[in-house]
Amino acid sequence: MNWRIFIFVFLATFGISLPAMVSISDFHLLGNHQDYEPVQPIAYSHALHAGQLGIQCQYCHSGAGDSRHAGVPSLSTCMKCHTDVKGSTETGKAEIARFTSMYNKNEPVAWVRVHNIPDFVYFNHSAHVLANVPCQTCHGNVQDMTVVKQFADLSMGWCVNCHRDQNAQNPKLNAPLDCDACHR
Amino acid sequence: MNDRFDNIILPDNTPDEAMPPEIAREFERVSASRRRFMQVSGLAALGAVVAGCTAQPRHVVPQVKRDAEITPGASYWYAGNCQACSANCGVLHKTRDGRPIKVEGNPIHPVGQGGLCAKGQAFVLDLYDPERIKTPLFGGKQTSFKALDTEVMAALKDAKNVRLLTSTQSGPATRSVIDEFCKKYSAKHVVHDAIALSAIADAHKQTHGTRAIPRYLFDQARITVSFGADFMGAWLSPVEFARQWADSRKLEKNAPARLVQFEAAMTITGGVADTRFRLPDSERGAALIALGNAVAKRNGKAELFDAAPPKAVPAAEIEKLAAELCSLKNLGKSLVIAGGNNLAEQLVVNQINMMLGNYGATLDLTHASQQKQGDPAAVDALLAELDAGNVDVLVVWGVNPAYDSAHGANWVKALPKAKFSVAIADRLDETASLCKAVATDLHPMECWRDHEPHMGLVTLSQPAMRPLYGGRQAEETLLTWANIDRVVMHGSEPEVMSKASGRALKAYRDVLKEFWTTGVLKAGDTWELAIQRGYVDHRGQPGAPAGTNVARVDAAKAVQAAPKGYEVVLYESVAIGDGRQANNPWLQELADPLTKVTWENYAALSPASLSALGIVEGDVVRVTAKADDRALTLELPAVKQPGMADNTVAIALGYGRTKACKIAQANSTSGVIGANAYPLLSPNAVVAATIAAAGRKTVLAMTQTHDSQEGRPHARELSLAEFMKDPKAISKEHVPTATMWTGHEYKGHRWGMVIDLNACIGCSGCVVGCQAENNLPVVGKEEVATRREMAWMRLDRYYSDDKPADQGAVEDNPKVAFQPMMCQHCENAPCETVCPVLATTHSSEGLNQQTYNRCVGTRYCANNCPFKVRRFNWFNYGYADPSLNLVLNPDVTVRTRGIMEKCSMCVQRIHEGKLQAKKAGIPLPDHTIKTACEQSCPTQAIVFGDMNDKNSEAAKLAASGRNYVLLGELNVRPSIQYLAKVRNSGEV
Repeated sequence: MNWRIFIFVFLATFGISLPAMVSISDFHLLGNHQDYEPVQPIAYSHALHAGQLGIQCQYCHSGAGDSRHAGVPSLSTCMKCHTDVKGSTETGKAEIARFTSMYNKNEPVAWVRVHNIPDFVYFNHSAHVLANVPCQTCHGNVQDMTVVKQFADLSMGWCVNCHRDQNAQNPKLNAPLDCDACHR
Repeated sequence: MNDRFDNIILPDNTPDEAMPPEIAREFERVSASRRRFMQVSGLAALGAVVAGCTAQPRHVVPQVKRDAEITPGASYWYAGNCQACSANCGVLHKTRDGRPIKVEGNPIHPVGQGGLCAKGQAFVLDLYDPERIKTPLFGGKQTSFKALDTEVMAALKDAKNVRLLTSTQSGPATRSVIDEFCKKYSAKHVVHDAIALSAIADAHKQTHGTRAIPRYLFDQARITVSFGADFMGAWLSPVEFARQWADSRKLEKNAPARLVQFEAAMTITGGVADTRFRLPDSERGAALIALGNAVAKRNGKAELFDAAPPKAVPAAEIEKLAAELCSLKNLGKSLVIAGGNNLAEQLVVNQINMMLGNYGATLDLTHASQQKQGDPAAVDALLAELDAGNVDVLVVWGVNPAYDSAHGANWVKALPKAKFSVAIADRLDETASLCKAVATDLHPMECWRDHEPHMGLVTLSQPAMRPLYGGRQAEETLLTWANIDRVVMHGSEPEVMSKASGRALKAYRDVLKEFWTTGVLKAGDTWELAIQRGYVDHRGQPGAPAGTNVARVDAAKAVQAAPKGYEVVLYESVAIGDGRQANNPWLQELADPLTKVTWENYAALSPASLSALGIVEGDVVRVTAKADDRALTLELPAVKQPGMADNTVAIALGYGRTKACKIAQANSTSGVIGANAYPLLSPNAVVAATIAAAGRKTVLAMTQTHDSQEGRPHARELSLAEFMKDPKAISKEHVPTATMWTGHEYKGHRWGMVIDLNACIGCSGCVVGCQAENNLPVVGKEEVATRREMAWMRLDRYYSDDKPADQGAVEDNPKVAFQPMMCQHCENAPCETVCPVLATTHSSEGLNQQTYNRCVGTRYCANNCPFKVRRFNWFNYGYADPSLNLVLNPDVTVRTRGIMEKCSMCVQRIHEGKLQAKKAGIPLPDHTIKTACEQSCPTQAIVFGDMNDKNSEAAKLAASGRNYVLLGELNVRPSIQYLAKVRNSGEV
């Protein structure tokens, strides 16, 4: 095929898809994925585990205190309870049976990442845990979400405003406002 | 990122016919990939519509069973030993999510003490080299280890003459494995080093009765005299020696030690030497004898030998040097060494050191070095056996004699004459490709291995990652073939356990652990501590047996006749060394610290020789030489090297690789980088060459083309007398302070750096360390030639002499100045004021920040930078092979086309260090944060620290008398400060 046809297709798809995106959802700036709520490969409910059962966030997201990444738990973490807990609802039983079989076959789960920030932005969970920032400040009330949804817009202005507010409340906190705090 | 927008605006990237050719060339470089991008993005866009206008989801795939040791995103450090050469410096491997991304010197390790050279820094990239073979090969076809083992063991079973050829392997466990293998098959073990130092060991056999290379203690010497040994660039254990040398000349402690270098080519050791003489290799023996005679006379001993004095060095200078060596304060506190591999010369060296009382003081034979054990005579004997068809099975592990020996061509002919040949190799190099079978070896970073760089200092390397491509480490392979799964300490009662039928052989880790717990570890050592530290040190006081004078007998052989024509000097370059890392693009693109040439080797000639030949730099010359029976003509570009001996041509080894070198070769039109000079290697005779212009020119990819400071005080230097007269003279100089700016207030930290030019040796470890830490791209030869190299840290090199600045260029034997140069993080930064989009701004801690996502690529900042340290991404310089991306540091953004970048003072490390202190609840201690260049520096020339903390080392150094800033007259107030070099030419 001629390259000109590719150009045509490329421009045509942009021409169609861009207005379509604007019309079917609230208008977001490019790169803003607030309210992103993807379907996950396993119907895991934070409302049940973190809300009703009251499991602490860092029980599963154990990297949050030590590392840049909070981390998504391994199936071995799930199996700590679900070796015994087999579920009470139809969906629960089916899902637990499904990932138990995946675990036994050594098959990893490809979770869909909800909170995406660009590659040129550095966010360190452990620094925020250290400063006693509640998880909900950035992630919303996850303990009430059946399916996790992006709560904040995660824009630079949103980050900087929080750092400024926190510094105003507690000058000793010294939340960095330099560019290189996030852009390295 | 930028690609997408460009492609909408400028869809056609094929060169326009009306374009000037140089612009058309730029478009040709990218047009193919852009067209491909259009195809892909067109389809992707179409797919997006079908899928309902959603972006591609990004996935997180956790491990099924969590490895308790790995937290994603956290760094883990594993102690080990660098195996890029036989020096075996102690290192720490930084691993992230299971893969090593950086190698750093281990500060507590006695070899290197935290420093690392360029080759060691680049070693991590070799791990991901796509040239590594993934499966064993038999007869050129892929096979399994099981099938290969069957074939090899069948061949070994009936073999009478088995030969095992390896590189230097000093580890007691590894040597025991080799011994057991050899015992099992009555095999003979031969050690090959590309650049052998066997003459030193042979000389000590004659003078001290022990065939060993001593451990050198440069830090104990008040004066070191080196005859052509580049001991800080390439000789034996350069990082270790560089640190010792730097320790011996700390000005703040006492009078700095002196280094006197005699050499034909120009090396970094010669460059930093306090006194340097040009001495052709053919006169090295004569010069040594002259010095020996002068020392003998002063000691009331008989002359060594009656030889004609060298022409190149005045007799008065030798006499002066002898007086200095024999002075009371230097007895037992000096060191004389010689390069080359000539037995007669080394005997004279030993004799001089004996007369000066250096054995047991600066030369330690009790804890002899095991860093080079190669024996060229044994290798030559093996070659003869092969050629005669007398070898049944040849096992080659980790060496490449078909390339890196003088007789490479003979190896190519003789090796296939072995009835069976098998290579244990991680790539199909010149030698492995000649072998019938190839057993995949692991990269050393994937292995358990021990070493013993000095007798009594036993080091332990643990793997930094699981084998990337499978494979099996060499020791395990040898044990499998010998059908053994246990080895015991060298020299003790042989106790060998054979594999019971059907029982799997032990992993080498278990073999090694058993060996260490029973044979190496002593009271107070534990296996865990040895792994954690990377070594156990059982060395005591240095010592040496009494020596005997035998030099008189052989001194006559040290005197050589000057050959007709040009003398050939072969050397290991700082970047490529012996050539085993020739496929490493970081090293290929590393500029030689002296000539500043990248991506090839060349014929270095003195300015007088160039004029005599009627050529200029960049002209291609034909070097025709004959070494023994090997005649060779090399076509190389001529490069002007001030300070070289006249009528001498210096050629770097390690180039001209033809196999397993695809990444490097992609940058050469001929498919080979440089020319292979190994056939001219001849330890006992000076090789003569004729040089003729080939009648064509080549474009050298150089990163610096101007040699002179033009009388300006950039890289400052003082004589010791000047320094002692007024140690604060430099810092007292007037610096203008008038400014338009209001200045900055630094409430917390104020980062700064002090670089001591008195310690910098130009080894370029910092340059590659920076490249590894900060994801610096490799741009290729053509781009370097167009001045688009991307190094954040460069080493400026200047030549100067004592002539007034207006008396023409400095040439004969100039002083050399090295100056590490990176972003100076100016307080009144000229770049910041011209950026139209605020992509470069000043941080509250004094850093000049570059925010890539803001940059629109106007390049105003680079234009306004007085230090020319900013680098622009003219293209997307990604690695062609994605496996090399595994080395990228996830803490540093990978920059795209159209973005300006420069040294960030390792801001990711600053934040890491601050966070750690915050977590520990303590104020940040000095030295917690080390930038990559500082960490890598073998001589600790670079010190980073908080200038607001008056007790930090950096602040203290900044207050010292030798302190100055570059281009002070501009009053840009750099955060990087320099300390002037002090040369101790012996007048005080």
